[in-house]
Amino acid sequence: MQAVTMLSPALDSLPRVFTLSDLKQLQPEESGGALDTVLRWLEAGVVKQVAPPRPVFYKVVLGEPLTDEDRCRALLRAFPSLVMVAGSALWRQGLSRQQDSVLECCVAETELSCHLPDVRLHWRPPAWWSAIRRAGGMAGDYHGVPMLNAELVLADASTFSGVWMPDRESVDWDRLSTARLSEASDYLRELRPR
Amino acid sequence: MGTQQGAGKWRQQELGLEAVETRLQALQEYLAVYRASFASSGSADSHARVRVLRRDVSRLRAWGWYLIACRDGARWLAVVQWLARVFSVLVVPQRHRSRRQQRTRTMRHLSSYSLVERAYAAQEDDIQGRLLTLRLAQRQNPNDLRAREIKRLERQVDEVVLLRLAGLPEARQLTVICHLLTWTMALRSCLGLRLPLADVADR
Repeated sequence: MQAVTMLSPALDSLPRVFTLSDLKQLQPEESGGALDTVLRWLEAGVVKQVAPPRPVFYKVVLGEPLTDEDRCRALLRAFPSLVMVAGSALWRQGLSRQQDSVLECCVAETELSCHLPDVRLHWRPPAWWSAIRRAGGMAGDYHGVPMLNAELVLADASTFSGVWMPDRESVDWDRLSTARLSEASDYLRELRPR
Repeated sequence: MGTQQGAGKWRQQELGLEAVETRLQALQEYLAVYRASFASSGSADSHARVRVLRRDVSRLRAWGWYLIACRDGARWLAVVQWLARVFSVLVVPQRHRSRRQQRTRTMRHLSSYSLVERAYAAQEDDIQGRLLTLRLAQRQNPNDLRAREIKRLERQVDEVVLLRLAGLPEARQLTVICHLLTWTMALRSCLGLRLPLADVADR
């Protein structure tokens, strides 16, 4: 951490997750300087770019992994369309006894590379967000990241492959509605990849 | 000299349009999420966010239409510019803090000028983000192709900065232009005519 401070005092005054524009506001007189500063930090390994080439970064602090709140904040700043899905949404709504090891989220952007630890991004077509709206398929948010409701989580996992879901017996089926599940599947059926 | 100036102006218009399109796309994505949240929760907060974002999208789209008209030399442009000069005296200047500096978490209304300026600033940040990724790769493993791309992006950053600092009309005139074209677009929409930048905004 001492090395981080020596590189530039500006790094200390930034939050754990920050954007290029945050840094420019700290150094308003030299916006070109902000770019050089971040490049120096990236080379020194004291910051990482969340999802290159997006101008969002997080500070690397040895022995202090990113909290869920930091990861959510970083993802929200890099991906406007972010929605939490699959086993991650079920666990955080208390509907599954099996915890996720990776945060599963969906985005509309096709460039999915992300340097955040324990995060997996999945692409969904733009019509997916309209289907979720028509189905009324959100169930609150976790640190600002909107989450799909349980029925939509299941419908989404059966429509699109590749997302992590907990074991069948870990899911609290009593709290799920069969009618809403069937309705959710109808909304997503036309988006099924051929 | 005249050709160089013309090419520079054309490039600036293209960059401005690209900035508007990129920002529109991001706003549309935010809007899609907020609308889905509002449909599920019906909360007043989500509703307010949806309303603010819809307004932002309309005004930015109107500005995009203006830029397209400038690029294509539309005949109605002179009328809009004259109206902007005439009506700009009626616009009350707003003292704004940026959304980032506002204390509450609810989204507040941005002036048309701030909205457009933010679109250009976001474009500048995006290009600089790409530049960072390339420069980092270049230092680790230099090659000519990447060096040329870095030079091109550096030029683009300079152009966007210039566009943001000196390429926008006076704030009150820009406000009138955005409002006039937003109303015209609403009228066109009622008449069932195709809207400018529809392919970006209706994703």
